[in-house]
Amino acid sequence: MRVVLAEDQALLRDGLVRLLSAHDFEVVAAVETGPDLLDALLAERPDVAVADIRLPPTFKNEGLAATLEARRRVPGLPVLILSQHVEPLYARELLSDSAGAVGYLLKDRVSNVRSFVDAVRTVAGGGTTMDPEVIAQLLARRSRDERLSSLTPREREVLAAMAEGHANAGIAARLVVTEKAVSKHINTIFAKLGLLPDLDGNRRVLAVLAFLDAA
Amino acid sequence: MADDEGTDLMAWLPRVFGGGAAQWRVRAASTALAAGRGLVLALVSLLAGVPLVVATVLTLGLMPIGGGMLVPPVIGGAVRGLANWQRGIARSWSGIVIDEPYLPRSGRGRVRWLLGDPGTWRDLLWLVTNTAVGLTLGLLPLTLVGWGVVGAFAVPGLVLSDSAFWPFGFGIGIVALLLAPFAGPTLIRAQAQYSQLLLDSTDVGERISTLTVTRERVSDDAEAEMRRIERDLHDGAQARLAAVGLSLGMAEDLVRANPDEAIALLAEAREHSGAALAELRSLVRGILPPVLAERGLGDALRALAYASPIPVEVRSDLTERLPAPRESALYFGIAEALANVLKHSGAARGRIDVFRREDRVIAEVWDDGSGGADIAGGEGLAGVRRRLAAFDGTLTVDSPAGGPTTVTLEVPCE
Repeated sequence: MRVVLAEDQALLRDGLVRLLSAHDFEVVAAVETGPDLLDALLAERPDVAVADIRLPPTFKNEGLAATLEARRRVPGLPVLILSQHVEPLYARELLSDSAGAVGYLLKDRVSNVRSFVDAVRTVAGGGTTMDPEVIAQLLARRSRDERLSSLTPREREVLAAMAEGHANAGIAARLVVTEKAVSKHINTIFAKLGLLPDLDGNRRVLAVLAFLDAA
Repeated sequence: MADDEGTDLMAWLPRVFGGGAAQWRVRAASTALAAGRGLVLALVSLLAGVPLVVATVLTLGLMPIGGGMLVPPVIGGAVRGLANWQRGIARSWSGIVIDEPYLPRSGRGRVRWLLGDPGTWRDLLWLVTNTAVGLTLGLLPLTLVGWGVVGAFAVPGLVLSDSAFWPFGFGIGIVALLLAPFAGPTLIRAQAQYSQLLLDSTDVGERISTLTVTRERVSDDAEAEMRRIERDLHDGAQARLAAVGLSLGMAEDLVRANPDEAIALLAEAREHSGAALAELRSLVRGILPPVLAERGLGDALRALAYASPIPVEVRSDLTERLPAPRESALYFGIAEALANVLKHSGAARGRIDVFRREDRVIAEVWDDGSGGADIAGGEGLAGVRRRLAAFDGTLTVDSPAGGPTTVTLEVPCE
């Protein structure tokens, strides 16, 4: 699987290259700046991009801006954003094109190698993965969306796990229920959120978006 | 019937004196408004002013014989409250801004602070004279209307009683009625200008004292903040990183002899490093939230609102980035006000407005909660006020019991 990596701190960049290479990813470009990231994404068309949100030259959110711009030109280009801080507002912007294949994780998560690699694969496969801290911040507020407040506490748990990027099996393991029960919950969630079956694969993304959007 | 007369008058005035009916309606409204405001001014000058003058004289008289350790702060506070009410109405009714030139309270006792402040004595001078000035200027607009109504509409009665004065009465009535729309607002404004003359600060020495005190406070606050950060780092991230090193060292020792134990120690090290990062994250957020650094005030406030448990609307018409110290002072001030809304007000809805008015940036934090908020009530807003004072910025709270509450922050930004 081909990866473009953007990280300006040499220590972390080398570490990530090593980590990804050790798990059968091919790092086709490892860049340091926002403009370089955009160029590399458009030239290489990788299977997935892993990018630090804050990059030179201005150390604002070039990483986010460059990947969003790349996705405008190459719709659905899989992007995993890493950051020292997570900000639900940015998660919302990443998801706003409803195309899925996005992830947003704290840099700390890299230290849990297996789940980090799973997250990269999830995003490369078109899935969505949101940092548990984004989910926690959003769960802290009272639900303002009627559709969302019609969910039972268990359904909210399932939706939150879905937003973190877990597949049905992962959700079942976490909540200690059967996969069949999980898929039943998920169908109820889709129905309550008004997501019709013909939207198919995108329904998971749209459900997560509804969750982020409950403003 | 009364309605018909009103309509007739509105049709009749423009025919005689020119102008459209709408224009005369506006004049009638502004006349009524000025008369009402004047009445409020007069009543406050009389009913609040006179007792305060008496109380002040009594207190000052009793002070030498020890009667005044408790009373002066109360009376002084009330006088200051009335002066600030005057500042508020001068601003909202006439657009006249009167500074609050009081010395910030430093270590001194309350009595010495009040008596040592020239602002207190200026307030007293204003208070004494305003009982007359406020009463007179306040009652005039209503009096004009009164003369007009009586003069113009009592004429038929005078004619019937065969009085020779009716042209005189009629003339005064018409003149008063025509004068009222213009004189009313002018009189209200004159009272505000008179207040400005007495209440505003003109003294450079006083300004320097204020600056000295606010500067000391800001540097005290900065010092306290540095100490807090030092303590947080020392007890938090530094300790955690030391634990990471320890776990790694032990794992290194054990890796051959007891691989299982070594793996457990490595997992522990990873946990410690995660906790250290989490602590650094919250520390950094407290110093300068990343979204503020990256996106500026508007988006930082949107992020704040986005994570809030109640819906908060954010409206900002700032197009440019503000100077960094002012931007973060405003951000933290607004965040504090919003935190108060969430903690105390029981509000269902909030709104944050940020806009520029000439050389000032103004932020209003509004909520539909229960009101009754007070700067004195908590250290939070008082701290914000100190931080803003470093830029000659201000913080005011308008929070009647029952709500709604508006906290207004203003910072000069060229």
